Amino acid sequence: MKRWLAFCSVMALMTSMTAGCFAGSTQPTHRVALILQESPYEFWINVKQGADAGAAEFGVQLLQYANMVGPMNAEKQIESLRLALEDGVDAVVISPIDSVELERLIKQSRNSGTPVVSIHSGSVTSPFRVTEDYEQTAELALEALKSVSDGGEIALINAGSTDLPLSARQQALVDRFANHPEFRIAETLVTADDKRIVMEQVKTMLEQRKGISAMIGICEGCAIGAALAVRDLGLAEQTAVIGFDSTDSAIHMLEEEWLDAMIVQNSFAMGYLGVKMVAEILDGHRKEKDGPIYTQSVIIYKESLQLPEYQKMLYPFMNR
Amino acid sequence: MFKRTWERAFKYRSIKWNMTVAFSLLLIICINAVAYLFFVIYSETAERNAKNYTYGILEQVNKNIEYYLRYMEDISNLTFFNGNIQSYLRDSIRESDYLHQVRRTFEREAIAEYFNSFLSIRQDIVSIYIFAANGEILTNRPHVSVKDYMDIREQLWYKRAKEADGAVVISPPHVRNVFEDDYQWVVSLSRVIKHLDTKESLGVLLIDLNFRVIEDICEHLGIGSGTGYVFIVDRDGELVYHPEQQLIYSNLKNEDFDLIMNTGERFVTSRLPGREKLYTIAESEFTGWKVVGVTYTDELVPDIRDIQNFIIALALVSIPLTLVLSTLISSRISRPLKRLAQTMKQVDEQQDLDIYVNIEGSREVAFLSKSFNTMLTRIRELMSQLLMEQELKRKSELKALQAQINPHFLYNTLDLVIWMTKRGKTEEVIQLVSSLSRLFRLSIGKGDEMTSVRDEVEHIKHYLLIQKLRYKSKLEFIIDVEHETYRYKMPRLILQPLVENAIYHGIKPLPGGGCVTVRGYLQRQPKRTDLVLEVKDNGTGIPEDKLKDIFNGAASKLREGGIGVKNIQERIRLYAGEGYGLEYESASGAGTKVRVVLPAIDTWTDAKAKEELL
Repeated sequence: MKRWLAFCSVMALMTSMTAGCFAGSTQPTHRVALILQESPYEFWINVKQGADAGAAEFGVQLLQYANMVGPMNAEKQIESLRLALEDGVDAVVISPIDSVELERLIKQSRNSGTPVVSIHSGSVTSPFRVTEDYEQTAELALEALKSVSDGGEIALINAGSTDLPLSARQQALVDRFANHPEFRIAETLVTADDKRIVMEQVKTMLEQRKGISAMIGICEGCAIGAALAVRDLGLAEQTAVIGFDSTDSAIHMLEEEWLDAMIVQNSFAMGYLGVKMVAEILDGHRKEKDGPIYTQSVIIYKESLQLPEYQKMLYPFMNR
Repeated sequence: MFKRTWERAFKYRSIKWNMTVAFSLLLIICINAVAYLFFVIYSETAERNAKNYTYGILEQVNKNIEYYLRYMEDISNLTFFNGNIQSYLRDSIRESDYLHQVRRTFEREAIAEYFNSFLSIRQDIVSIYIFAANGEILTNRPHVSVKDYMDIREQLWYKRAKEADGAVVISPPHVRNVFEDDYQWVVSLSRVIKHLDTKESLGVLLIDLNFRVIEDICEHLGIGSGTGYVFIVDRDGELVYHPEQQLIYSNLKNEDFDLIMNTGERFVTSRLPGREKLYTIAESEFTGWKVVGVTYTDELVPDIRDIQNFIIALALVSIPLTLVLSTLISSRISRPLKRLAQTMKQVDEQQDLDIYVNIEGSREVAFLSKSFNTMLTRIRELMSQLLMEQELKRKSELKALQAQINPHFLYNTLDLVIWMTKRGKTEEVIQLVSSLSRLFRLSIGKGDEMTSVRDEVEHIKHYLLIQKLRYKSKLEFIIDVEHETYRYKMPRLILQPLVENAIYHGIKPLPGGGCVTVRGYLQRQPKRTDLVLEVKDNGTGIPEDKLKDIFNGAASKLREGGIGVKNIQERIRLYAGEGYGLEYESASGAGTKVRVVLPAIDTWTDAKAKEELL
């Protein structure tokens, strides 16, 4: 009797093991809050498309907690982050605007075990970052300047100080051009992120400072505004304009040769890598010590626009 | 080493163990070998089928794409042979002729309507253009203008159309950026439109297609358990379509394009790091495109994991199952043998020969059982025969003893009777003859080998009385036997030879004679109680060298022609076993003491003996 009981027990155990072998596994879905900036802009549309592509690949459900139409200010981001944390999301992907309260909330989120990945940000509040390599872009700006200008005084055009990536870019440029034998930053114009306002302020600046041989528009609006000012003043031959980031308007300006070069980063990759990073964190494959992911940028001249490798970067295929 | 391990594992183990292990190993090896072979054959067959299935799908994809592009070619043919278009393109521009200009405007609008008729039924056609040789552009799109710095003739689709000289060419995906504010990814179909008669080039037709139809053809094909996908590369290795095209363009993902372009095989495995992919390649002769199916090799056979798990589970289940079954089978086979072995052990340990085994089993086991029973019966018979022979031997020895006493002793005693009668010692003669009579009576008993201590003491008393009458003052004797010993059993005629030895070899040689003392008592020990009878004399004693060999045959014959000490010793041992017998203490000139140690066996348990004793 005992022997049969033992036999039955063994068979029951084996049956359960067998059942275990055939038990199917379900693909986990991570709920992740996505908080970006200024969605109508092409740069952020591409970031969002990259994030969506990553979400589809890595089994991530992206959630948005605020109306993404129109400019995103710090208050809107704070509200979105609060709502996301209250909703108990697994992680947050954010492109934070410079705000003390936002930084506090990000820290709070990290401390409560909700990882935060910051993308396209100069902030170091989160150890998980997908960011532009500012030193590389500053180096590219110098290379572009060398190819379109013979040297001299240059001006940096920036759109306010609330945008952390722009501040980081500006700082990297200041560091790179410090003590440079050919180029000297003679002016740093901090203006609004509106190409018309930028154009007017740049015109005023150029009229006051006649020796400016080149301008670097740190944001897309800054570059277009500066290019429009050069066009209106008829200084296209004397003053080179280098811009950051690409939009159809900027490409048009480049084609018209009012803009001499663009430093373009892959905004699609930014969004994709941000979601990839968050999936790796949630799956336990990425730790803080692994450090940030840097996206690479390229210089685009008018001639580059016809080359397939640059077209692939400038015109996201997702928009077909 | 192996031999030692083998011996340790099997040689000294039970037959049940060996059979269980052998059966289990055999079954487990067989089950696993069959399962493994099944798995290998199944997976190879399933993989081959999966590959062929994927290739079949890709061929169908190729056919669909060819059909689609031929359809587009047909549209280009309709345009090519359209009379209005031919007429418009042949007609040279006469700028001074106003009516001619108006007519051409109407014709251009009619051509635009013609193009729009295609666009209205085909959502995949983005736009249709004819770039006339005179620089004019015919299109469905109103107010379109080419960027002034753009040279149409430098565009890839234009150059290829020129090279093809009237044949249709398909250009890889590119951004259509020749027009103002127009940056759209398209696939272009282009061809030169020729004069139908002179074959003179009239312009280049461009049909831009979006990816809607190609995407529809390539998506949801269900290859590789649903995670597989299809992409297309043209003859130059340029990507035409990929479900993750932007990821490829952004260098976030990659395919092994070099391998795909350079291999002649239908199936190749990607050399890229990461999850291993199988590329299934189907090439179209019409387009020159390669349709590539991507299947992750670990998903090539969708249910291979289930099969693998099943086989692992089978192996896991087979181990305890075969162990249990093997144990049951070997237990059933070895059970009769085990019973037989246990019975043999019982015989060995308990000396129990009265066992009969009736073990039913296989023929060999039944034969063994029967043989064992026969052997036991034979042993019992031999044992019985041996006991009988020993009994007979003892009896014959006793008879020999009795027969030996009689002649010597009777001769001497009768001499004494004659001598006493001559002297007129009537009373002494009467006493002597009475003792002699009683002596013989007690010697014979009732033919039994055993007697009681009481009778043995009485027997020795009469013997000593007779010897006393013979040796007068030269022999003294003392009989000091505890009364409680009287009821115990002992072999007959043990004391008489010892007393006789004491008289003849101890006392008689002494000029002044001596004394023989017979004692009897119970010696109680923790585990047993012994009956001890002592015969002691103060005679000459036995020399040490003789004492050493007292139990040997020759030396034990202390009296020529008498009963040897060895004989007495053997009788006691036969009766009581080892641990009992005679113990000698003697030294030359210091007398001799013989201790007869016997088991204290109470005759009161025997009613008849009790009656006699009382």
